[in-house]
Amino acid sequence: MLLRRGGYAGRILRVDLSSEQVRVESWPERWVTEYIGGDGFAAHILYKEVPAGTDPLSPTNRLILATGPVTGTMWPTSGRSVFVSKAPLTGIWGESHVGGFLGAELKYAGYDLLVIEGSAERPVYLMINDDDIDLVDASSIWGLSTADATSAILRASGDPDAQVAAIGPAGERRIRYASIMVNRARAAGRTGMGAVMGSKNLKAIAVRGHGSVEVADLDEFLRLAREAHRRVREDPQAQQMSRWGTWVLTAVKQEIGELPTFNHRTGVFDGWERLSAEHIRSHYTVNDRACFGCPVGCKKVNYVREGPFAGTFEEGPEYEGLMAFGSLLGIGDYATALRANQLCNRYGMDVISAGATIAFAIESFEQGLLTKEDTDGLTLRWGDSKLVIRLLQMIANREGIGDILADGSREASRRLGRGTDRFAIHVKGLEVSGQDGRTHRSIGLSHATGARGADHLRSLVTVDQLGYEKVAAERWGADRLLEIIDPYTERYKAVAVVETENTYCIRDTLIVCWYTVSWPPIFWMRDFAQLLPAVTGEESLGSTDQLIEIAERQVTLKRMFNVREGITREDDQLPDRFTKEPMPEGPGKGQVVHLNPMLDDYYRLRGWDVETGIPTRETLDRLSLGWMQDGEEGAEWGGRHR
Amino acid sequence: MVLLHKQLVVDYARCTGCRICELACSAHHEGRFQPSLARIRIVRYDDLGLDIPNVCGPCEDAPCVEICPVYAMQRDPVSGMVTVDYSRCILCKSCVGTCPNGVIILDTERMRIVKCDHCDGDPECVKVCPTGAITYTTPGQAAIKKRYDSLHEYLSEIARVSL
Ligand code: SF4
Ligand code: SF4
Repeated sequence: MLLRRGGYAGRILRVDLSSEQVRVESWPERWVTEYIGGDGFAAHILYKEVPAGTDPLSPTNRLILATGPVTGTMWPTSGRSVFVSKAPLTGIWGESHVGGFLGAELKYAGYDLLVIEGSAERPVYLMINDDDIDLVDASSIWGLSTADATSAILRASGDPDAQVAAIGPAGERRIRYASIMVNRARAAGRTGMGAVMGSKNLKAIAVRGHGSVEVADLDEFLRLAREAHRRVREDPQAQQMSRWGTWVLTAVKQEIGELPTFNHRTGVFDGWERLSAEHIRSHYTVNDRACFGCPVGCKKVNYVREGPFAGTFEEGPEYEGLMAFGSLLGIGDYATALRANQLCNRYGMDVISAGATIAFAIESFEQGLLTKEDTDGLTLRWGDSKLVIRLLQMIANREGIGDILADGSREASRRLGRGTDRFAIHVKGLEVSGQDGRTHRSIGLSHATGARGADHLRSLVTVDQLGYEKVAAERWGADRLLEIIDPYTERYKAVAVVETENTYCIRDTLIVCWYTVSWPPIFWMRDFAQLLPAVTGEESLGSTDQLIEIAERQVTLKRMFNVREGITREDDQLPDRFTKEPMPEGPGKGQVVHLNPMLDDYYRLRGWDVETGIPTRETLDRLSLGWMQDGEEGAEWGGRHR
Repeated sequence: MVLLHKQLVVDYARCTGCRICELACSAHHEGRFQPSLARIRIVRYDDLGLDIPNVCGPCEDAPCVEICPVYAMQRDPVSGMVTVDYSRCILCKSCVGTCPNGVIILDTERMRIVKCDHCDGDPECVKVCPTGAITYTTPGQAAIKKRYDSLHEYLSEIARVSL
């Protein structure tokens, strides 16, 4: 039966590319109270349908596009969606959230989720127009950049309001950190979701929906949403974000000595000013843009007027891209970062992994572990803009050393050997993002425990670092405050990480953006507890205790996916760079991360075995996940037994 | 003299393309979130990095009034606003095709023409727009010219770029 409940479309669209079969299914109503939506729904499906040991690039893997009950409503930042799959880059749980307009459009077309199975014989793209679902021959656009493919599909559809998610040559060539690009410049970047699409011969997903999203209690919802918009508009940090985007972080990071530089060797970068918000806005920015339903509008359109990259016109990059193609490679030049970002967008590659894998190669070369023989005569060195552009092209084309770097830093170091693994700065195969546990202890724990690897989006605590003492005291108690906000101690960091992770889990079920929840920290659990009953009509979601349990279930479910792939405490480790090499300079000089005490605390709080890091039977039962160990397949689930 | 009436005046330079206006408009008129029935339409140019709000008016000679064969589209001489007289409308869709702003819509579910009514003088879109890109005012020519000029400038700048 079609579940028509406030906030949901009640339907899953399933497309089997192998058999070219399309099915519309309902999902069980109890998912509302077990998972809410988004990441939760997707985790359940992925766990059930992708068995242990599945090759991420095989037809057996699934690619899931999920939305939540808030997607497409007037709550601020409601346009987001998430791609979930077993990750080609890491071989474990993979997910990548993305802004733009895709998620809302999928809801208007009448689906909460899209599940893609199998693999097409020839290149195709998927066109979803309400109930009309077409697999369209994509041979003429195979090989095109994400931007050109998007334009071609929009032209062919004759509808400029369709939303397109496309892969570029990188996804087609299965670069293990290939991205899916939505609306040309919004990236589902991390963990290689684009390579999954490439392996399925699926060039793009285009969606057009003319329907609606209805909420259970419109008056109450509009009251809450208007209040929420007011809070965002009046928040000073959100106003800063509107003007400067995430670039505000460059100066902050430099000041606290946590701007990853020279492959994370240090956290201080001399050239930081040319990567700072004020420099960029005044020299390059020509317009401000937003994702669907977002009052912040942190997306910036930039244009390079002079120099070697004159004529480059592109959105972004975010702070992470500035870091990855700036300080991390020793390049103090915004134009280089913009050009590199544009190339990554068009080829369809994750900027963080691309920059970090290049940093890995440069440091290996510097230390004599790589030579010109490996690099077709190229000299790899820090601060070389042209080199970076060249390497990005080589990676996207799998040309020379680019073929090795296309598999990410962990795999590249395995293939090269010679002790290069010291310079592969990753956790579980995912390259470390633009933070450093040595100067911000809680992120060390986040990087180590993140379900998809060294992640900055699922549990990064912001209020312990950026001057939010009041918020931190409110959340975790004034008695613990001094230790919580001390970036150089391990004490209570697990408490902050667990509670933050729980809130972000709910954020990722709704689905709403990182900004306004994680930073600036405007909305928290109690806001979601007010919001969800008005949207869904489900009163039990009005209890924060209930939401915490749903979050714990989601974290443990993702963990179990990884456990089934062989992940244990041994894999929850940080690169030696953070635990053994003291920060060489800056405010955090001499600091290293002592991970083990934080890990012990984290597992205890999560109800996972402290020795192994595996969720205990008791925890699984408490979270109604006992079925995972009983091997029951849940007969109520669409009747699909596997 | 034209443009004495209050109008929705848009500023392309401010619009971020967030479409919150479409959400508020559809919630107000339809009781649900359905941008396809919003009486305002944001056209987003991802290739140009530009977003343009399309609203009803200001039209000196309203083509929808001119074309309507049964005089269902009528302009109120006092408010200047064009409204649909549903008792006359024969759903020929001429107005849909002729609206230069593309904001007269056929609701295919309930089979009726929908268009902006300025929310009876208290526009929802203006209230929710986070950037001030839509205002409800009697626009002066100078302000309008300035906005067109700034758009021109922007377009000529990016025309030099290979997109
Ligand atoms: S004035 Fe009212 S009806 Fe017209 S576009 Fe704005 S919200 Fe919609
Ligand atoms: S609400 Fe304002 S900024 Fe957003 S799309 Fe509408 S006019 Fe543009």
